[in-house]
Parts: sequence; structure tokens; C-alpha cells
Amino acid sequence: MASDASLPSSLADPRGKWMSLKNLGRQGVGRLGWWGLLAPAMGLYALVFFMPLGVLVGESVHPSGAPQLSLANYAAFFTDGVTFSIFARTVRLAFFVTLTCLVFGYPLALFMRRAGPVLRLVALTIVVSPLLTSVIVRNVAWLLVLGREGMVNTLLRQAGLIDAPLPLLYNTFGVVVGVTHVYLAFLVLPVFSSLLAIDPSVEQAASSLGASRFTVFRKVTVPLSLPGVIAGSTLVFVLTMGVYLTPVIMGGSFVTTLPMVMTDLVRTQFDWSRAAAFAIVLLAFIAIVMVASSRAERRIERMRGEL
Amino acid sequence: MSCKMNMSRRTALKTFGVAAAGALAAPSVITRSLAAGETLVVYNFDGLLGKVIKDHWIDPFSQKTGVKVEVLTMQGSSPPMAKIKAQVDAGRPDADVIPMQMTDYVFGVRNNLFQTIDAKDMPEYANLYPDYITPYGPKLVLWSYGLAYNTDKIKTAPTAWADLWDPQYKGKAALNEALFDQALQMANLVAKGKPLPVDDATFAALTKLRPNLATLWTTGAQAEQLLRTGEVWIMPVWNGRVYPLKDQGVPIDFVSPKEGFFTRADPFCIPRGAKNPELAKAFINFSCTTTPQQALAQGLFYASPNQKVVYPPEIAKRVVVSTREELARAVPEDFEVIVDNLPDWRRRWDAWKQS
Repeated sequence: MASDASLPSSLADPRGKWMSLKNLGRQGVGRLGWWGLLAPAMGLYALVFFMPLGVLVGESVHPSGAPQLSLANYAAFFTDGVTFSIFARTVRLAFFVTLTCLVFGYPLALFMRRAGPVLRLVALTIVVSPLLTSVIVRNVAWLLVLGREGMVNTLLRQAGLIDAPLPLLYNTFGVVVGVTHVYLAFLVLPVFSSLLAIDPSVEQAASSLGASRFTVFRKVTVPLSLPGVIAGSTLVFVLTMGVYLTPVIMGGSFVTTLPMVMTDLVRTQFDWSRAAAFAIVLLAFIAIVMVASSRAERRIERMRGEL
Repeated sequence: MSCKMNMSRRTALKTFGVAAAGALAAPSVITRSLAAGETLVVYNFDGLLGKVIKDHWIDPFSQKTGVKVEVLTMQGSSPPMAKIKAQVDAGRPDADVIPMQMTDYVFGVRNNLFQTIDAKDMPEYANLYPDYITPYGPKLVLWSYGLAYNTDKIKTAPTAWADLWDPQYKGKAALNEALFDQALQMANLVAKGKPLPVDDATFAALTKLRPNLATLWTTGAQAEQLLRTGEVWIMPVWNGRVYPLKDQGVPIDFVSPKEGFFTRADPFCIPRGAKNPELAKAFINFSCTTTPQQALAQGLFYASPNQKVVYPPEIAKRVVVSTREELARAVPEDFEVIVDNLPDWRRRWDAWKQS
């Protein structure tokens, strides 16, 4: 125990050590270290995201063939007569997919909240499994299910329910099915976690005060799960805005999305400058959606605080 | 001049007793001792075509010369032009040989992406149709674009592009979205008897076709799936996708429509700044020779620009353009015009799809 005496007093005395660290923090060195933790991630982002983004912006204002800066590519987005309407249809598609995900995903998340651990795990595995499959394999499997000679049409015809095959593929319906299948997980997971966060005693309190089960659901459960719903819907919406392969395969290219227009600009028209401009517009739109969504979420949090 | 050079190299070879490489013609002769251990980087197609080229062009070249050939596989048949342009501009292309689709080729020439290939370095050029030799490389892999149809469902074989419009094929036809420029020219052949210009009449013809179209496809693999499952009964596609399926027992056949079929070929080019231009020339020259060309015709029914290639009768029918006369019957395509108009056509095509 003699060695104790040689230690600096601050280390020997736990309270002294605490004090000295606190002082460091006050002097700002600790805070600097704290922010320093961000450095690796920021460095990576600067390299793989912000720098290429800068290049993209630079490229977009240099239309091929024009010597000076020009916004012609951005103007073309709105005025070339096709691109804006394709963009509008992409938004519509994203809206359909989000709605479908909500209709299927919300009840599923409710079920998972009530279910025991085993059932919960099974449901979770099924929901997440499409994310583990290759997009091509998934889509081609759907072709076999939804095709004119596919499983669904064959079954319905044998059951005598239809005479002519239903058009389930190569249209918006087919794309919505294919995209919903994989993005459902992005809705279910946030909704599920926000449902889990609801204190059951709040619902019990409501029903003990005479609310019917439906009223409890409508006035307590749904409002409390809204942050998850908003987060999940935003994710699905934003992801669908960038969808490419599924409309190509399951939409038969008749459903054109903005990413398909950009791919063609790059691959067959070699107009990288215009593709860059369209990408920036899409990115800006997505940023607006994200900001609106996080504002809505914050607003709900505030309302809850007032309650 | 080139003859003299030939001679001197031949003599030199003999003098040094390196006769083993005799199979390769002289100026581009890369002797084993000279080239062994070097690496050539070649872009190749994916799928069956890529396999035939690997087995019959790349591997024999590698065995003959001792050159190690590294293969970069393209997506379908389109080289990544954005990447290639960036690399050439930076002076560091990653490949020595790249097969170009004609539209990519025009873009490449306009942007100065390729080296010229001097005919005196290419002895096999003497045997090629002169119009299949470009300043930047020979046009190989002659595929023909005609009509594929399901022989189970369609008893009387179609004879013309116009048959696509037949109302009995409602929802049973398809078009190639990736080569939509060919679809436009095809519609023109039916509507006005000539491939160009693309105008309102072209799209009016396509609108009449719309009820028959089940889908549009973008890759050969998709086309194959549509034909195999019977989802589509009739569609324009290239011969090399049809006959291998037919041989597997799929009930389909191929016809070259009477309004005229299309033939396209891919120039094999060397990017500017390539590390091994001499090896690249030797490889391209070897690829032009009869044995590799014959193998491609036998394996996948793609024709050759090499006049020395002789096709057995049943192969000749399948390669569609086995003779000069048959080649002359193909619809002439002006790729300068096509590339100039592609952006405009694409916008109109996209608008048409939505209407």
C-alpha cells in the first residue's frame, strides 16, 4: 500500500479525479474530443457524398456544348414536356406504394405488438426476408406469380372466377406489388417500435374510464404511434422515388420513373450534365419531403408534451 | 510495302527459329517469347455470347501467344461509356479491347476515345468485307433483327413486321425498349416503307400497335423469359437469342420480315492510351480469322464479315446474312443520324408510352 502515496492526489482520490475531468470539459478540450468522434464519419461523408455531390452540381450547370454556366438543364426538367410529367407519375407511384404499405403494414405491426416472442420473430423474419433476396430473383419470381399464365391467373381461371386473364403485370399495379413487397419492412419496423414504446397502462386507463376498444385504438394507440407512422411512410416514399429495376421488370418499362429517365440519359444519350441536373432536382425534392416529415414529427412530440 | 515488312519479319522469325507462332499472320505476330507473361485486358459480353467469345476467341489466343487475358464483363452488350470516357480523358483506360455498339461507337469517335488501327497491322483485314472495316476497328458479331414467334400458338408463320399489328395478337406482342430506335424504324417500315424520318406518323403507327403490346423489355434475358413462358407470342428480337432456345425445345422460330430486317455489328476498338495496343491489335486480328468467326456462327448463329468463313447449309439459314447479297438486303441504318436524334426520339417515345 505504500505505492498509493506516490500516486497524484487527483487519481488517488476518486472525487479529485472526477473534478479534474469536469474541469477539462469546462476548458473545452473534452468537448473537442467529443466532437472529434464525428470526424471519421464526417471524413467519409465528405469523400463519398459531399464531394461527388459538388461535382454533380458543377456538372449540371455546364450543359454539353455550352461554354458558360447555364440553368438550361434545370429548365428542361420543367419544360421539355415529358420529364415533369414522369416526375409527377413517380410521385404518384411513391404515394400508392406508401399507402399500400400502410394498409398492410400497420395491422401487421399491431399484431406483432400483441404476439408472443416466437410469433413476433416469425413475423419479423417474413417481413425482412425480401431485403435479403436479390432484386432480380424477387422480381422474376413475381413474374411467375402474376403473369398472364402465372399462378394467380391460372388459379382464378380454374376456379371459374374469370374468363380472361387479369392484367396484373406490366402496369402500375405490378410495380406497386413488387415495390411494396420489399419496402414493407421499412414501414413495419418503425411503426412496430413506436407501438412498443406505448405504455400499456395509458390504454388501460382509457378503457377503465369507459372508452370502447375502438375508441382506445382511435384516441390513444393511433396518435401515440404517429411518429413511427410518419418515419416509416417517409422512408418508403423516399425509397420508392428512386426505384429503377422493379418498374423495368414488373412494369414492363411502361411505368416510367425518373431514375429510368436519368439512366437512359447517361447510358444511351451520354448527356451526363442533364442527368446530373435531374438528380439534383430529385434530391432537392427528397430533402423537402424529409424536412416536412421531421417537422411533422416534432409537432406531434410537442402536442404530446402539452397533454 | 506491307508485303516487304511481312517478308522481313517472316525471315527474322525463321532466323531466330521461333516458328511456333506461324499460325498468326506476320505484322501482328506476337511470338510466345515476346508476349508470354504480358496481360491483355478485354471487355466481353455477358451471357452465351460472352461464353462463346471466351472459349473460341480469348482462350485460343491466350494459348497461342502465352498472353494472359483478363476479361471485364459488360452489362449485356453495352460498354460503360461514362467510365471509359473518364478513363481515356485521364489517360488510363482499364481495357485494351472494347466491343462497341454502333451508337456507342459514334459517341466514342466524336469524343476521340479510340486509336486508329492501321490496315497494315491487320493482315486479316484482306479477307473482310471492306465496309466492315472502320478506321478504329473491324465490325464483328453480325446479329440480325427479325421476328420471333411461338410455333405452338401461331400456326401460319408471320412474314412481315406488319403481322405484329394483327388484332389476333392482342396483348401477346412485345418490343425492345433498349433498342427503341430500331422499334421506331420498324414502325416506319410498316407505315411508310422506309426507316426514316421519325415523325408523327411513326408514333401514330405505334399507337395502333399499343393494344397488342403486353410489355417492353430491356435485356435479352428478359426476352428469353417472355418467349419461354409463352407470355409473349411474337416480337422483334435478334437471331442469336432465338435459335439456342429453339434447340432447347422451346416452340419458337425466327423469320426475317419482308419489309427488310436489320443487321448490326459491333466494332472492336482500342481506347486511346491503352497499355497494350500491339497485343490488342494481335487479339483483334486473331478474332477476325476464320476459326474464331466460324465458331461464333456455329455456336450462336452470328454472321461474320470474313469472306473466307463458309457456313454449312443449316447454319447459313440461321445466320441470316451468310452472303454478300443477303447482307445487302438488310435495312441500311445511318448511325450519325440516329445518335443526333436519339434525345429527341427518346422524349417522344417516353411521351408515347404515357399516352
